Amino acid sequence: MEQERLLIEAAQKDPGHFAELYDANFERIYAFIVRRVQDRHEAEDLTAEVFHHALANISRFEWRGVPFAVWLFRIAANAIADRRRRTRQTVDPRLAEDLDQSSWRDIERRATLFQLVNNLPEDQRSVLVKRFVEQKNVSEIAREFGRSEGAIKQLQFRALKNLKARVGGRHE
Amino acid sequence: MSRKPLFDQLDGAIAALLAGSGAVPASVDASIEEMLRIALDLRELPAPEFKASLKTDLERKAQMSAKPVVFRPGFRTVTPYLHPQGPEFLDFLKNVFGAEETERTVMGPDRFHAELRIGDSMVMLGVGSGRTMPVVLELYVPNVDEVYKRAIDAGCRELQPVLDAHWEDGLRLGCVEDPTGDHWVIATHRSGSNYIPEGRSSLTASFVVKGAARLVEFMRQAFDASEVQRHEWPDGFYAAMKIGDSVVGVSEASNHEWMRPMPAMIYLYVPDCDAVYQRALRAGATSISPPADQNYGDRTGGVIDAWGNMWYMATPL
Repeated sequence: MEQERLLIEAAQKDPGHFAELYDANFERIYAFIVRRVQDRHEAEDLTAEVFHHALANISRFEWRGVPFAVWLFRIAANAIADRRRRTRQTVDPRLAEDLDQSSWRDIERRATLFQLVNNLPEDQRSVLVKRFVEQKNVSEIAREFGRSEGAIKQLQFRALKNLKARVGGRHE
Repeated sequence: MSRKPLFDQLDGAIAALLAGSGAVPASVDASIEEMLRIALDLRELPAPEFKASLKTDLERKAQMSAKPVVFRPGFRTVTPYLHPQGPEFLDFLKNVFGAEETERTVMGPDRFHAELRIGDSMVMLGVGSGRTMPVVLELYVPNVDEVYKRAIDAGCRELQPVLDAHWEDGLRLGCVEDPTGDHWVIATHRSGSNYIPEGRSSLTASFVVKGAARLVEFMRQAFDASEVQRHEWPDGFYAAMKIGDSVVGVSEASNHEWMRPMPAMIYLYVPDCDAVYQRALRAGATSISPPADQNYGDRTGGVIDAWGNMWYMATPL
């Protein structure tokens, strides 16, 4: 928490340091938003909106010992609600409520998983990105990588096995 | 299925998940069940390119706000540009709003460019330009009641008598139309330590347009604007958009007298006017004049957007 407070103060003095707060919170905010909107493009638009808003208003943030992510979640909840109002969709009143412990744990679990993907060996990480983000099938990935389908399936297997080991039984 | 190699079983189950099945199939080998639960969550994995490009955008914006261009004293990123018919308008600004003239450049008979400071902000005037372009301006003053009365006494037309805003705590405001047709939303903020709310300056240019949501998007794309405040009502909204160190207002036009469409002209100081000019064109604006070095010490280019607002972006030479 102390380290986070220092990061916030640094970003308030020099917005150039905001990137460190972004790196520390990107996966959390994306995980929060994508689960609620269920659409990748909308999740990206809203995530961008949240961080641009946070950067523009960082000088107004007051440290009260609460994680910085809580402020970002509130911005995200408001952004989702605003967008739904604009598109005449029903606004879930729970959006504006503070996260309960199980929601918080769920976000942390998925955000940690997304970060762990970045730490995988490059070939394993690339296969997961092609498969899950770009939604390509194994034969398409095999053609792109110039490898056999079997090799791609094994890379995918090793990637998930690695993630399972690194998540350490927290993925339930 | 259990006789297939585990990596084949895993891929088959992942294919089913990606095709829309939201659950781990019951028939898979127990040793890969946990991996499939992870795969379920990976369907929401963010695109690495998105994460990287958003970070680049934020760093560019942070750099702009951290290292503002050194303008002439008192100038912020955004300066409204007004077009009064005659020099008497300067007296009006001085007498009613306490404006101080800082610059006057004669352009021809009965034509001159003037710059005035009002509070902590600047306004530019093209006096006698022949252009008629009344604008909406928001002005924070220490005592709205006093300034509103001076404006009415100086010949302004009442649009909205002073009242306490129900949509924002501590905000008291009134609205008048000056002899040129400009609308002044005069306000005092009374809930904080300063009559100017945090993040604002004395003077804010404001756009009233039909299709305000699209203008907001245009400003995001062209000028890296970000929304810092929004008030909504059943058929419209007001958004405060931050550009550099300044805020501009955007409102949806309506049939209300002081909400009719009123485009504005803006003088925008940016670190690289050529780059911003190109971004504005890519965002859909039309060129008025490509960037060129001007004899008054700025490199300046101009565009007009789809709502008739004119944006002159400038970088000091």
